[in-house]
Amino acid sequence: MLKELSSLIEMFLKESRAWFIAIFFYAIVFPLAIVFGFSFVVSKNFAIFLVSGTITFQVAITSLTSVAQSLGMDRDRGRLSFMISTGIPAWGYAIASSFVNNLMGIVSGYMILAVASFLGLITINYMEGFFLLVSLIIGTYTGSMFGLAMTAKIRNWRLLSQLALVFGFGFSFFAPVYFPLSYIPKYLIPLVYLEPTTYISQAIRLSMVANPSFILWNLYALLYGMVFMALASKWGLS
Amino acid sequence: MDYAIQVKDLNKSYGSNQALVNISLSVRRGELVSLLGPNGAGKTTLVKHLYCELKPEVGRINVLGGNPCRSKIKRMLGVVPQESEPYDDLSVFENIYYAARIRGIGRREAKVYTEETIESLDLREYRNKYVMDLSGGLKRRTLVGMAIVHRPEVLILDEPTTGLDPLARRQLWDILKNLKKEGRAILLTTHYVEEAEVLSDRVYFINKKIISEGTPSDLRTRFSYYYEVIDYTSGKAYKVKEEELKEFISKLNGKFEVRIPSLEDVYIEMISHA
Ligand SMILES: Nc1ncnc2c1ncn2[C@@H]1O[C@H](COP(=O)(O)OP(=O)(O)O)[C@@H](O)[C@H]1O
Ligand SMILES: [Mg+2]
Repeated sequence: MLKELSSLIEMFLKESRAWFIAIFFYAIVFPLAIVFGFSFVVSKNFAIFLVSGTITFQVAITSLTSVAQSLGMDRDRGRLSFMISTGIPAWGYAIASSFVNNLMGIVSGYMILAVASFLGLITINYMEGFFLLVSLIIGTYTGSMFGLAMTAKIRNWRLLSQLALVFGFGFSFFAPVYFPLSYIPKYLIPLVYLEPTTYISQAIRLSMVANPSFILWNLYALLYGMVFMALASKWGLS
Repeated sequence: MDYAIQVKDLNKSYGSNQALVNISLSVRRGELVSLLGPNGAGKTTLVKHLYCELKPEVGRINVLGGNPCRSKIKRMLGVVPQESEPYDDLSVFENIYYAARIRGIGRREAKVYTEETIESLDLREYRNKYVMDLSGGLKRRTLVGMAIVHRPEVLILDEPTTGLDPLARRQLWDILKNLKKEGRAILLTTHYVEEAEVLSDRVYFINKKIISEGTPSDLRTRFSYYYEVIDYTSGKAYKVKEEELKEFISKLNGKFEVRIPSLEDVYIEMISHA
């Protein structure tokens, strides 16, 4: 399976030539601009949220939104059927199809870090940089599986494409991504725990400060991703 | 008997809409079989079971002696799904080449297979063209290439000629005839009677259930409740029952022609009664 999936990734890398401008903008230019722009108005105590929040935002867009949109389009054009006929599972297709964006996303995560430390917003060393990589990979998986489940459930691809954007942005700004979880009013807590970005953002922020509980949040994120992978399978995409 | 595809008592519902009712059918090795039915007859639903995009709720499916959900079996299958398109931003070569690679074929072998496929489908001059710049017929031909590059034993095509112009359709027919000559089992769905008649060894009429099965000429004779008599003197065509034929002809003076109905007539008759 690994051989087949890596061939698929190679194919998507070739295909991404055509989408380079959009990928480059959303994964690199846009998040850097957010961090740079808001660095002048954010207080020192919250600088970490600006950085970890933007990395989370960028993970949400490049995994959840991009997987649902491209998978929906590929299903519409019969390519998902073709892939299934070759033996590539839908989840493998989802992960491979987000790989290029995610590769950019991971590069982007580190560029954001570099810019943030250049601006004096945070300080970070190799160990934290490695913890962050773990969180980025797991966050990407979680977001991709949410996108896969959405694709399985919503068969109308115009609707799917719109909702993928709404969820990608919604989960980044209507969740404790740019601010602490403790700021959420009690009665909204259950709702917040339904959002994948809650887990992803905690894992990313805590790994950046080498707080060991980042492992726990990553486990939650992984579990969340597996639940949505199972849901996708139940809804016909496995 | 050496079967490539066997389906037994397959049923499938989408909610309260039963799309397939007790479908049983078979395709032998080296045989070209058509599923002929109107839109909504359940052809695509049936075909999706054959490569495990859908799993049978009721019934059994056997492809090349095994369960089509196993990747070993899928390796021996080539599929052109309905209304599918190759990847726009890849060239013809890349589309076919990666269709081989994602099936686990190594780089060097995949390259050789791809060049051979391009040759056999007459795609040489489009080899390096991006798919988005190709006509509908050439896109479809690229899809066939993606389905056969790994030299599968069974080929499944879901309405491969729908939407093509007459020339492109005939070119695809020739390709299918050649593939059949190489000994592959081919299952084709279509709503064009002519296509089923020209290409197939056997035809299944399907409309949620199997309505009838046979060779094209079988079906034509089995359903000739009436003959078509064309009176050249008056230029009129009559539908005449078999037992009344002799008497009818004896009354004609001048030249006339008696025909059994075309498969198209049989088809129209059948779907309007089913
Ligand atoms: N994913 C689906 N969900 C619900 N109904 C479906 C779905 N796919 C097909 N159908 C229904 O099943 C019936 C058969 O459809 P289909 O297999 O596409 O027929 P055909 O390929 O012969 O045109 C139709 O009534 C269609 O509306
Ligand atoms: Mg169909």
